[in-house]
Amino acid sequence: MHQNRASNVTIQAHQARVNITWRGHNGDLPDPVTREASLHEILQWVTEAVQHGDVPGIPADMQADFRDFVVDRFAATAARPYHLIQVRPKTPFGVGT
Amino acid sequence: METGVLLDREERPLFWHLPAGRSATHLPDSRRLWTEMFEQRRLLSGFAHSHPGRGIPRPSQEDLTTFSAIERALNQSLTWWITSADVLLRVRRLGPRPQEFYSEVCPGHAPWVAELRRLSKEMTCTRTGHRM
Repeated sequence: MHQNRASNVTIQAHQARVNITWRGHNGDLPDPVTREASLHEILQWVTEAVQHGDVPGIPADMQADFRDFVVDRFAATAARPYHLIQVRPKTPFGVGT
Repeated sequence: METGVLLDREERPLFWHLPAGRSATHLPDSRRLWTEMFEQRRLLSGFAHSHPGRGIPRPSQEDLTTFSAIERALNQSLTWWITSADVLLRVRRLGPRPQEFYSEVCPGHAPWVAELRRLSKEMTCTRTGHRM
């Protein structure tokens, strides 16, 4: 269990902080999510949160559309004692593998 | 081998993208590339990548959806160059809707174009002397 100082939210071992980049801004979902959440679930939560202005650091955007975004999952470390999920745009080019 | 390069506003290379797993027709998803784009977003004018063969290259559906996702994340309209062995294409956003882009053939005389084509001919991505 880890107390996140920035948001004063407890992040438990089975949970993860979700970090988002949208429209040049970066912020965290206020509440942690289960670390096993699917990509679809995470993008749905993130979309709703950004649309409603619920992400500190990211202005509300009713047009928020996370289509073609992906997530990176990082295990807890000594420096960051909680799991982290980062939402970012995909970056492949070409015609597929 | 498809190869890419991030370019600044003077069209100077910021980062050569030669990831593991690239092939003649594909550059794989890369967290490293996104990190470079985000960290250098204030300098960034766009990204160029190579396509195999000669003639006018066409952006793939994968290309267009990637262009759109990155521009939404950065809140920037970028230039997306695609080069074949002999033609350079410039792709830019046309309208507000995702995947609305137009393209035009442009002169390919800049030094980075020749270097991108040279690196695209290499079969390995190591020992190029470029940042990876």
